[in-house]
Amino acid sequence: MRSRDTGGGEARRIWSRTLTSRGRENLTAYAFLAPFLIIFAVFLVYPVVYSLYLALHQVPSDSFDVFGGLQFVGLRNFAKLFTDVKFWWSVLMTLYYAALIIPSGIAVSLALALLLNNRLRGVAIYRSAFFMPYVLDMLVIGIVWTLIYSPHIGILVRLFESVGITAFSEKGFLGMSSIAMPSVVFANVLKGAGFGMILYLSAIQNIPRSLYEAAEIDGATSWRRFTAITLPLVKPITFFMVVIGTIGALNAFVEVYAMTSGGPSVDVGGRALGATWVTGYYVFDAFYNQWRLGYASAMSYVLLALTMIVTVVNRRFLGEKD
Amino acid sequence: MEQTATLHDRELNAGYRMKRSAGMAAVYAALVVGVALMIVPFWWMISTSLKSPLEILAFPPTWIPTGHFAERADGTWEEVYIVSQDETAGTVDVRSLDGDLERTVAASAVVDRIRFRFRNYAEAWSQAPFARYYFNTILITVFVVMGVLVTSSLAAYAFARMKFWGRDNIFLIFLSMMMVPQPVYLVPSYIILVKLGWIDTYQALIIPWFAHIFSIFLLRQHFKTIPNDLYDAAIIDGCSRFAFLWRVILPLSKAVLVAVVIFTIVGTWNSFLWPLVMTNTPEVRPLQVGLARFSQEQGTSHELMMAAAAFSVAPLIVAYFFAQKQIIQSMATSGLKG
Repeated sequence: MRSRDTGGGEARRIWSRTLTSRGRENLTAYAFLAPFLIIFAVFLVYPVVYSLYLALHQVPSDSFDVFGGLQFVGLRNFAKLFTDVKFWWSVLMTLYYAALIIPSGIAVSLALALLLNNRLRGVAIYRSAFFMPYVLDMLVIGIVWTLIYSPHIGILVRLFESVGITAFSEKGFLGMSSIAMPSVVFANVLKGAGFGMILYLSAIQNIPRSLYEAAEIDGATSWRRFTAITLPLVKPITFFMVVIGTIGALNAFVEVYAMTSGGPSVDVGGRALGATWVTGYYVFDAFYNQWRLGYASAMSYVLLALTMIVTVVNRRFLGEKD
Repeated sequence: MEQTATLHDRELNAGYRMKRSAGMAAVYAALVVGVALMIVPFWWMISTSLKSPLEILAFPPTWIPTGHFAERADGTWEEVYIVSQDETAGTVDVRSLDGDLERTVAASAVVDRIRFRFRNYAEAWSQAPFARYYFNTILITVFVVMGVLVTSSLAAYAFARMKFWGRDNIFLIFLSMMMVPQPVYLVPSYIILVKLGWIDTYQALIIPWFAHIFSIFLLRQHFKTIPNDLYDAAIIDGCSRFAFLWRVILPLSKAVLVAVVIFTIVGTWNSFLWPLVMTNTPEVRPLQVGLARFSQEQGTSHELMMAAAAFSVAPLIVAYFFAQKQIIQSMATSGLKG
């Protein structure tokens, strides 16, 4: 394909004679697009369509034949999903995760940016230190925090013990249903804060100095200057942080996989559910551990629908532009 | 608060200066706490990876790996652990780390010394095919980077500088595909790869990642800024479209290409869910999945686990150390894809 538009010679002459210049431009453009477009179609578009097909089918429990064994079940997977307590619980946990991580992520990022916005010695060093965990992967961060949070030998448990707090000693932070999710979120906020910090920092540095000077002459306190000038002017970044935070929550998987595997168990009306059982993890579990392909697909489609709703809502309420 | 510090330097009076320096002290204190919070997990990882299994249980915990040493009869020192202590007699029962030989020595003959057990690394490395995992991750990363560069620059060029049927609609579809949550791809992609016979192959971990929409987006933005005159001049000289892209556009886009390379490397190195699902055997398994398996099998050997975690992230940390500015810029842009 490429040889046709790069190579001169015979082929080129024939092709210029038989095509209009517009048609030729079309063909050349598609030749340029082809390598990407083929992979895009096979691995990004087709799976999304195919997933809907799968959602309407199920693999019989006695069959591991993914091809011939599919049974058409109509909307039964979706019907099951809507009565599945575990699924609705996972949606609730995803929302809980989002409700924890978005505000705390924004607060920490903004605080770091404000700190770095001072005339400091070695700003670059602080910036590098804060940003580094963002580059590393969630799995290793999760494994390290699992050790830090662990009962008996975990350093955090011991720090609390040294000031006389033994509430965490027995089960560790990830073993207690009430604080497992906040603990996962805490590790994740520390990992991701450097990214938000960079965005906020560049936004803050773009705010004209004269605004602050005028406000100071009018006698505005520093808190007032922060709420009346800084916050409104970094709103686009805040909006962006809300959007990626939401998408991150709907995609949350590795942090849960590495730290809690969806647990620890929490008793809700006589049912044992997982305190960090987010939807992203449930899809993985239904597919990988339970081999319920149709059901997992149906669930991922509801996740897709939720993503679309959230995106539209975000656009509508938080800002008109990106 | 921070603004007070930078404003009105010319009007500094004594009171203001005092307020300012108090403010700055608070800023530095907050920064130190922040840096500590960021660094402590890594410190703890490295420190634990260099401890002996017994030292991990020690109370109070040691921040720097430390061992107890006792003098042997021949005057050499060996590392021991303390079995029991007799306060009144002033003696301790110690046992050497490698053997069962227990003996009683004077408390003053046992000293604590900082020592790093590097052999944990060798042990962790030998307990799973980590060399293979490393090789796999590097191979996969190299090919994904090359593939992304080829497909993205070609496609970005078409979007930026050519008119063709359906251009704007296709681009819109691209952008909306970036919103689809990862779990949606899981099941259908798995079945597609089974049908292609690609499970447990390198291509399963490489080729699907060639389609990187954000790279196209970024390159397209940049290509658009290159003046048209260059193209007109090149065409008059008999330059083809492809030659123009190769000889003129790409050399002018080095900074953006570097950014694409950086976030592709980081993304590929850290990808986890996809290779976890698409591989069953160690032959093609990348480092992150190998690490997860190791952690499941390893269970309680924290020092080995942390050693494995440390050598898994080491390449990225070293790279970060040398190219932080570039990496921060690239990663910050790549996050802007939402």
